[in-house]
Amino acid sequence: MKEFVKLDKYGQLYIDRVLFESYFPVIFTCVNDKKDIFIGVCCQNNEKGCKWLLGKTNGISIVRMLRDEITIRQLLLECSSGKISVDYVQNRYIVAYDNSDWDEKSPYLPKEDSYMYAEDGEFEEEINYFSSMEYYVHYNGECYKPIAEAMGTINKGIEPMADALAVFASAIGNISISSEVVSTLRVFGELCTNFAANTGKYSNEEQYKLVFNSTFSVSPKDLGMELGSEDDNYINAA
Amino acid sequence: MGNFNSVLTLQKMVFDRIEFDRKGFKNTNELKFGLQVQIGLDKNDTYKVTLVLNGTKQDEYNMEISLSGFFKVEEQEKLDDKMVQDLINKNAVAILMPYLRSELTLLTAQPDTDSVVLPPFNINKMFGN
Repeated sequence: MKEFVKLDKYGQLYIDRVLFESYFPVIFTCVNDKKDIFIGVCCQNNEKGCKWLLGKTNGISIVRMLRDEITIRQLLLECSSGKISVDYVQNRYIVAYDNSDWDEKSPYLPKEDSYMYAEDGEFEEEINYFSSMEYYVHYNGECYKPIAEAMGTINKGIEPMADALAVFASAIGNISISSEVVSTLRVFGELCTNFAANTGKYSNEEQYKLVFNSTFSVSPKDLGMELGSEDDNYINAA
Repeated sequence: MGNFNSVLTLQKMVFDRIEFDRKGFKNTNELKFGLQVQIGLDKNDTYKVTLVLNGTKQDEYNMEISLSGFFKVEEQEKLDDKMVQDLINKNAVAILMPYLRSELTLLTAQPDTDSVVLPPFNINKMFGN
């Protein structure tokens, strides 16, 4: 990949994908040695020099821009960080962070309605590329090396022992946290007392002779309802 | 408007287990809960923070709720180790706790069962100041 600019905060940037170009890349992405993704927009290229606005972002946000879900302006302001401004004047790069180039009314920022306005399939390859760049989050606990563990019991009326917890530096130990049971259904139970059946002692299934056991398989079509343009639609839905 | 983005990002959050095991009808026995916090780190610097809540109301029910959140700390190299540890041990746990609390209330909001609301936790005291 072609080297672009070296930033003190993020290291050497390399131009990765050019999304829009004229005689020079206008909208492009960069990566650094850590595979962080940056969006770059060339906002000036004339006799005064070149200026780029760069933001550290991610593959998902770039895909959203390519799908016209967000504008280029939104990608820079809302879906990226760093607010990097790079000027190329007199054969040298000048880097600044969060300067006036990033002010809301800055003439260097893309306009409010700056969508990519892509045609169908125009960025399909880039969308697949940036979608695959997102790192995979493992669910399997075996992939995670244990680094901390804490356990505690919660008993009503027992206050936290602050002094004992002061030495809980490695996040391993016992804690006690008071709790309270809230009877949110008590009123309901009292109102329905007269109607409740006294079924006696709760027992497990083993004490009941099995008289019926079946599973049901129902097609979703059978459960659904098609509502036509009739006056009694609401009655049917109920 | 200022940038309020956090360096601690939540990538995914899932419930691993939600179990309710009925033992008997409602009684006045004491309700006891145990809370376990497990934190792991994978090779991509993704932290898996798992909260496991076990509850027993003797002769009425046993329950267990396990909730996992997958976190990443941006620009970790610019933060000292203690700050990163605090972000994961305290902030990540504090982020997950309301979801655990809500799920316990939903799970115990059943006929003939008292609904339970966990109290607010002092996460700082849990892991030491």
